[in-house]
Amino acid sequence: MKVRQSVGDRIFLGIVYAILIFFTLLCLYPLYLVIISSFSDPVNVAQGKVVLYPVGFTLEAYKEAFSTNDILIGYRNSLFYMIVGTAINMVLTIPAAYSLAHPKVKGKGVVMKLIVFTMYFSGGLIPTFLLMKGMGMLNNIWSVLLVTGCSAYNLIIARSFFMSGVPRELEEAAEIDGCTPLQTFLKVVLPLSKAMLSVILLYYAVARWNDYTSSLYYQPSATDLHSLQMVLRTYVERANNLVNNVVDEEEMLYWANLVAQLRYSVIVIASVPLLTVYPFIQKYFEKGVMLGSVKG
Amino acid sequence: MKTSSVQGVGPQLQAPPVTKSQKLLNHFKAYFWLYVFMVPTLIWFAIFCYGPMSGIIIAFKRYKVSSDSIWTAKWVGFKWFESFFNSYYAKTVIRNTLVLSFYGLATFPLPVIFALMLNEIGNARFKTVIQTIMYAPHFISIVVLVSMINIFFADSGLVNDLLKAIGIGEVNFLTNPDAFPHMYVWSFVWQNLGWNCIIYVAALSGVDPALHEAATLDGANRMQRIWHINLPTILPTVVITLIMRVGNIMASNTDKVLLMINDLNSETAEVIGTFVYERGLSKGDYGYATAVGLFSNVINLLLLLTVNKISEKVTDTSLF
Repeated sequence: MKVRQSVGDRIFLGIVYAILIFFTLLCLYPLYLVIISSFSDPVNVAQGKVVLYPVGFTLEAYKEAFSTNDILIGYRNSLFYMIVGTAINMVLTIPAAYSLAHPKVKGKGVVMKLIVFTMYFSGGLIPTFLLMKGMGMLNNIWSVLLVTGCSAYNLIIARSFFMSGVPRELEEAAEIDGCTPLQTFLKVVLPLSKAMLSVILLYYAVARWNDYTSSLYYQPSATDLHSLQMVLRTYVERANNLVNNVVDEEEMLYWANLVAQLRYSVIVIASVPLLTVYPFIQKYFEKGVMLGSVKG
Repeated sequence: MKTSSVQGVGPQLQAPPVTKSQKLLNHFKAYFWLYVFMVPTLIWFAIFCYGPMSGIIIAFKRYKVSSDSIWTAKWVGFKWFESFFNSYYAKTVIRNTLVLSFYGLATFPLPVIFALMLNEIGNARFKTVIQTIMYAPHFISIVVLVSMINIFFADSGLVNDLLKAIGIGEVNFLTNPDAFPHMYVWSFVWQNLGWNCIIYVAALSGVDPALHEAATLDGANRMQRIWHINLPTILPTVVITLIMRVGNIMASNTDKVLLMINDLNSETAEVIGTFVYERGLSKGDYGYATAVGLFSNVINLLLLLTVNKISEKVTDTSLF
């Protein structure tokens, strides 16, 4: 049905488009500016000459970044935390979510209540820190890998999906054909859950890659284990100290140079992995969010 | 089984009486794997969520790392709470936390408005492109976000260059205590507006097109249809999201404030989360810091329960 739009509606729609396009540019331009600045001569950037495209194209900042030891180590550590950490997340989330969605499992209600409760109440930073300490997990990889081992929110999303997204009849058919619940899960349910799995995987991978507080809190003296974001934080801190003028002149000059060289390239390096991946599974985001809003 | 034996098939064919415990055993045998699935997750929640909860008792104890264990340390009652509330910090950090939270809460209509606007876009391709770009800031880390703020809002940064060009003059964004709440909240909006739209966009896809057709025939314009059809549809979702936000009033984004705080803006930037970090992890006042953290945690929980109850009564929408 095509209805002729009134003038008022057209003006209204025009305003809507204008606002959306303006905000879109507001999201895009700072990111774009960082990218073109990273490929430009720092002098031109400082003079405000870089606006729409790189001026004085150079890869120097990237060469510098990839020859700076702590950035390389941070990158390696972050890759490790993301891959192994996300694997741990998935193992702790998906099978349990399936089990807690299964109509035959007893005690689901109590278990779900206990899990949901942790979303609204926690021990807090210090008790968690002391627990890590007591278990000997300070200053090693285990604190970072395990402290964010499972997210109650993601578990609820996965569980809602298993309850509504996979036809129960299929599972029953598989069981009649002689599949054990384990086989049904692996061969029937998981292949049908790719959309949900990819969203949860992305949520976890993003959280892992962008995490700096786990390193800050639980690896205070193991700088060689710090994640990339934590390494970058050190740079931000130094830059802040420059703002505050509390460092001596020589150190200030050293850091001012390094920060000027690296500030754009490290942002690009730290952001590219996620920014290039999420558009591919963007179409599943809406579904994922809807599943998460089902009552716990 | 019982009926067949009554009909005289013979006692030798009758199934042995199944006791309750045997039934349970059979159930666990048949669904063994489903229970195995749960075990690692339950252990994780027990250790990493409920473990720290038991550690809360040090909020009421004098705990020293060197000598005591959590359990043997001496009780001090509400000493840490008293010393926090009697200190000069209490007022400041509670006020700062509340200011950031309520300021942030005041921006909650923005994603609703943007979702309603996105919904008006007819061209699906264009809509997807806009959404893709609007999601992008959500995927950069807090560290990168704050780095970008430090670059663009520095005294000699892009924003100040612009302000000087249009004659407003230099504004001290990064170290001025008055600027901090604005920087904190609006950078959050920039980063999450697109992402926070998703839930409403998804809810809007449930609107029945027939309603819009009928309303159009009755002469309703776009604005009226949005107001009377789309908005009521997503209202329950808005309420749920609001309840969740209110349940976090006493928790600001510590990750972010830790990066943005400096000696000059701490007057407005020091929040409960950063204070707990400073006193606890940097200075080692474990009992004191735990008490402060517990205080904000309990207030959050109470607020969540209260708002949830009110919402249940008033709007029939509740979290649990």
